[in-house]
Amino acid sequence: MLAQQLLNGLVVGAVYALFSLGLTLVFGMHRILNLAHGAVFMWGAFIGYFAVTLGHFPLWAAFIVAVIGAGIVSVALDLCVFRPLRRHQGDEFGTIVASIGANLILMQLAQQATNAQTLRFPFGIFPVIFYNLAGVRISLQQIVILASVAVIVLGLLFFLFRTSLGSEARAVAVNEPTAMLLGVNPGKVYFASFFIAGMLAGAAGVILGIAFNSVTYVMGEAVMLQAFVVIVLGGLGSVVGAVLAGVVIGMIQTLTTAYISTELSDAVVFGLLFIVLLIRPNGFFSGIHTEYRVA
Amino acid sequence: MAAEEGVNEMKKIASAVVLGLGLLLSAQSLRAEEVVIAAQYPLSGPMASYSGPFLKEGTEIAIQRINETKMLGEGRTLKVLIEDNAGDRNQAISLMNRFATSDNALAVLGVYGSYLSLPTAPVANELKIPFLAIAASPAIVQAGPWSFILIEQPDSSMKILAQYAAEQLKVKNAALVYDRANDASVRLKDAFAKFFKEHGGAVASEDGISQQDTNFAPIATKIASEKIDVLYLESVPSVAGNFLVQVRQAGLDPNVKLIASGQVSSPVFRDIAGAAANGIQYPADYDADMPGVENKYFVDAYRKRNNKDPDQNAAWAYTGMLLLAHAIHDAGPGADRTKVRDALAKLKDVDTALGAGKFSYDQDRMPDFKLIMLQVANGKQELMK
Repeated sequence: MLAQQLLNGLVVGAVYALFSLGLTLVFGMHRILNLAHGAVFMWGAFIGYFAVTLGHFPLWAAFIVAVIGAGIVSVALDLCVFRPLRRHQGDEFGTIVASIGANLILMQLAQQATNAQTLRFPFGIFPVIFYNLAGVRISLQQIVILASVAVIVLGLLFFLFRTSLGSEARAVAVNEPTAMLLGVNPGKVYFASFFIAGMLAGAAGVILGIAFNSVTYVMGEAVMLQAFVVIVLGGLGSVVGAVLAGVVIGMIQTLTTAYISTELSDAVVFGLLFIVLLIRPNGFFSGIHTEYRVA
Repeated sequence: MAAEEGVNEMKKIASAVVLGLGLLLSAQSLRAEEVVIAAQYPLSGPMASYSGPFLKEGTEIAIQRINETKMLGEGRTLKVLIEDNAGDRNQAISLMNRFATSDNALAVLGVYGSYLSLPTAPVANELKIPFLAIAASPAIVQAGPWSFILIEQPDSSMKILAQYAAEQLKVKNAALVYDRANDASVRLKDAFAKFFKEHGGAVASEDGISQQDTNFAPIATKIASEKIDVLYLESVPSVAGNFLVQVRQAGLDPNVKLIASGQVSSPVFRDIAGAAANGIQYPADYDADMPGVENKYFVDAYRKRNNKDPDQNAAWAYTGMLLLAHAIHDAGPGADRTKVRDALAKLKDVDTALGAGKFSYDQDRMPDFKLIMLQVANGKQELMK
């Protein structure tokens, strides 16, 4: 059973990592702690759900629509909430409060749209196929989730470190005024970073919505809490740190639930966060792969 | 002299006119008596997905029924203030205060569930307002003479279920899954475990889940690997349905019997669980196919209005409103809260939408109606013979 539980932890941890990457990306580049990121994740799941049920899209097409839709929601957040605050030289606290407000508005809209009901993707939308690998029961869905997360993370790394826009983004992250002197358009970078963060959240939303058979307007809240632990543990702004921390958190949570107590899983995870803050305030993985930090 | 007599005559006529007008006005005011009851449900927040909107729908049908049949008595109409407590204890308490002090409600229905009702019951008793909680915990009744519960105590349903599991299903080893954050859910689980052991059964494992959980893979994997022959499930419909899907996907032996509390008696559960729900059996307060005048009216009206079958929540709210209406009727015109409370405690053999029998309160103000056994077959809920 241990191997089976480790697989469960790996899958859920990979999705936590996907979600947390968007959060850490925006924070690393712009020092914006976007507390509405969970609402973007939730709207990604809803867009995917409605694309399947109302638009009758096949799942792969609904996934793309959801990812782009969530990217647009995220950009809209920047344009409507964060950009006006930047123009007025708003401080970090004001940004956090504004993002809480935006989060509530997005959740209320989803609540109204669904009459607060729990929705689920239609049964059979993803083939229920299981394989037995050395005694471990692995589903096609789990394989696709792990492969998708791996491809998305590699794509993100490629964008950040192998494209000119990625270089501009990192330059803005290090010093925005200097980057502007060098001809970088920060508006373009903000657009790109929020769009990518939204796409990552949207992808995580659809994946979790299907994997856990549940799409609700409150689904972003629990994942946001886990994401805080992931980005602190992984080091704020660290792409690789977020991935590793996501997997570690997923596994710790799963093993605690399976072998100790369901009641203690959150206590263990947040206890770990407390210890990391005491001994490594910059995150447990901040010392490794520093070239993969966006800031 | 004649003039004086004429004046006296005029005075008599005027007095008669004034008296007549007074009687007419008082008769009109009697006819226009509007009785105000308040209801509060989780219309938003996490609990709303399986409760609030259904409770509101049941309440609206009840208002229609009560006013159509003049259940409160001639010239009295029912007005119900329905508010949203968002599934939040503080809001539930604030609303109870408002209903009792500002809105002058004669009684309050709802709050919903023991989690919200337990902290609200002492407030209702302090404010001396009859409070009919849509909940099962006897602690609500013990809070004082003004608080009542609508749902039978955990012992009744779990006794039936444990006996059924041991004697009819002939199962011996059970895994128990319950809502760890809900007082009533823990009581139900404990009651089932106690009665199941009394019938010779054993409990292999107990796992608490919460309403915010969506990832059940760790517990599902653990249960699928255990040597059990029955899985007992107690949680709200959406969570129970989701858990069942994930435990099936984790490889639960198809021969393991599935039993649950009545909470799964909801279309939400069957929608979420899909084919995974087939075979599950449970005692319940309500089924749309039950005969009975009140249930027939309720189901017909509900289908006409909402184009779907009512669930247990809607039936609870409908029944709660009917009980309050009967109590207000029995308390008589112009009754105050004390008379309504006393009449509510004395209700006997009331025809409602719930159960297989009539609704009564016993000497300890505990509800009593005959529970029914239901099962899911081919995605549909059906009455067991």
